[in-house]
Amino acid sequence: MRPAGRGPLESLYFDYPVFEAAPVPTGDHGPTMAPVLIVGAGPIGMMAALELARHGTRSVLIERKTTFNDGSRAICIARQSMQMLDQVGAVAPFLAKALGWTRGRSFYRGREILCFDMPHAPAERYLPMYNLQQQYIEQYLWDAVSSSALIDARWGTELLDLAQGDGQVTASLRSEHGSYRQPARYLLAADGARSAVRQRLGLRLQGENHEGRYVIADVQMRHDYPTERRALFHPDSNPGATVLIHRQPDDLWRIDYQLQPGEDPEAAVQEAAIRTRVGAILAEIGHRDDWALEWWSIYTANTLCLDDYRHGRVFFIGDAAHIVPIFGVRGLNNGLADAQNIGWKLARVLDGTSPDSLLDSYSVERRGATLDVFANASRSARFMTPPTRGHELMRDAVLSLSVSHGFARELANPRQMTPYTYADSPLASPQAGDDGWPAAVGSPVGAACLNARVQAGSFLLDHAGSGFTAVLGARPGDGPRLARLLSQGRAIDAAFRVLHVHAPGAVDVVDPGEVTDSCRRLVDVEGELLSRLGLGEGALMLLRPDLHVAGRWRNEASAPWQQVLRSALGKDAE
Amino acid sequence: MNEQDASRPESSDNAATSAASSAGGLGPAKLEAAYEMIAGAIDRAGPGNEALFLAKLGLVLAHQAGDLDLLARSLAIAGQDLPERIP
Repeated sequence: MRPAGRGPLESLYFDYPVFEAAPVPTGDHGPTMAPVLIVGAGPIGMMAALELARHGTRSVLIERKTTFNDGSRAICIARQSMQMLDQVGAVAPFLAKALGWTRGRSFYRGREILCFDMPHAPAERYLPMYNLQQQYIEQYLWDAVSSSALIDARWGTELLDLAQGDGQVTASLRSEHGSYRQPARYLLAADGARSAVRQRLGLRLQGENHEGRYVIADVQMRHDYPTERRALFHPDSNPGATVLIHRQPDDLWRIDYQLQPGEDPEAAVQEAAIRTRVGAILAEIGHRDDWALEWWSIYTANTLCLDDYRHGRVFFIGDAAHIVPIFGVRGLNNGLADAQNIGWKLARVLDGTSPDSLLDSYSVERRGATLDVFANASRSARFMTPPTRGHELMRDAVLSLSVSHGFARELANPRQMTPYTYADSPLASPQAGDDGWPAAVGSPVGAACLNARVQAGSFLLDHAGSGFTAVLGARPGDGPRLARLLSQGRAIDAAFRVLHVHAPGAVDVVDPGEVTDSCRRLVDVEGELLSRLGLGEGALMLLRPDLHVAGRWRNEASAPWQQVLRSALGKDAE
Repeated sequence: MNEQDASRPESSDNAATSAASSAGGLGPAKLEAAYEMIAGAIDRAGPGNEALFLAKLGLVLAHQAGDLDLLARSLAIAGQDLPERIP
């Protein structure tokens, strides 16, 4: 909702573009077969299109509206998401505009009880978290989408119905120019919490609704405070309820506040009530100057998801598949990971590398990630909005103890989510396990790979390819070994790449002539591949296209890495 | 504020903190489990019986601990920073 007198797209800081509704495709035989039809051009649909394009796969991207999503939605972009944006070549404008942060502070009745820093190290290219309004997220993704020759984006185009059969999906589409049938090999439903695709297939989200309603309001003001997440428990300005405050670019501030016990939600979202409460909160944090109200909404935490994210040739990604509480900041971030996960797999199936069964792993891996978010976000939602009297008393006991006692502060720490580990994936083979690689060192099998600094100001993950990437700890006389690794890998995955990692000062062990785009020589300038990832001489790590670890071995010579690579691509054993 | 400070000198605060942190020593995971267990037990006691239940819990834990000094230190910790005493 926006203040009286302002239209839904009349923002204080963002000019919404208006796109022309796409014409009806013409041709001798009507619309041509799309390898992938993506329904919904929000951030998740656009990310899926970009990931497919990264692997050379064409897609048709349709969006019912003729502009971006209005109002303010997601604002937190996690490190792993920045890495994904980097992989699709779209990260530069995000880095230029977003506000990075690592720190959060919690207050109880006006007194600071907790200051926490999310894990960060110089070996990581990106900070743990960045704040950026969703309008900019969509704008920057659209800039990348619209410059790709592989993405056919059609605004103002609505899905009316769909049918599956004969190895394809046929979607009935309509724009203001007319209706037509669009055939596709696969369909991605990225059409959000009220997914039309989900409704057409008669599917329902399952799960729980949590207690407690929040108002989400964005205000514009000149306010001097670092980019840190603030949580206010029992503030004077909102007695008995919680407030969260985030800084965004363009002098925008996100104020999330819980409704007070017994407060009527309908009365609470009236503009006058919003202005009164927000004004009191701003006074409490010391803001005395003017402020302008941009937008507000009301929100209840839910943990809801589909039982299966795959239905034949239809895959659900983002909010169409799952609704998670805002407190874990995993709505946008998990959606982007969904898009990347299904993107590289669809590309492999469509180019004939992998069988269709590879796609079954999407639901297992990403629904697992959703359930993991549920467990963690439910924990933080229980702290933010205690569901019972017992939880409320215990939460308040922890807050009161935290004023003076460190042992209780651990219970008040929201502990942001880390990327999900695909431990139970059907793509993980038993041989992927470690041959004595210490479990606590580096990135275990299934985990998102940690980063490390290499030469010329670059990072390990910058050098990964679009396919599977082998990271090999160099030994003297590795030339023949490299050639063999490369030819064996490329026989299984055409985009296979080898990163040959040398200790500083030992760069002469391979003939420079052997360095090609599919075999890059890296120098472990800070020793981080050894110290942080545990990659010693002769060791091998195998990374998936989404930079999760498919396997790792201390000794490449005896590693069954080819079998593991085949399994990770869904191919049968040979 | 002054009265509160007088009743809570720096030294006894540190002693109380160390009693809470080290003597208990449940660790984060078990502390979290304790949080959930007590929350559930309060809910089962029901709205009219919260105070009685928590008073009984205090007495039971004191009896189990068998240490009056520990009880005194624990009472001091629990008595700190109660809302009406925070300005």
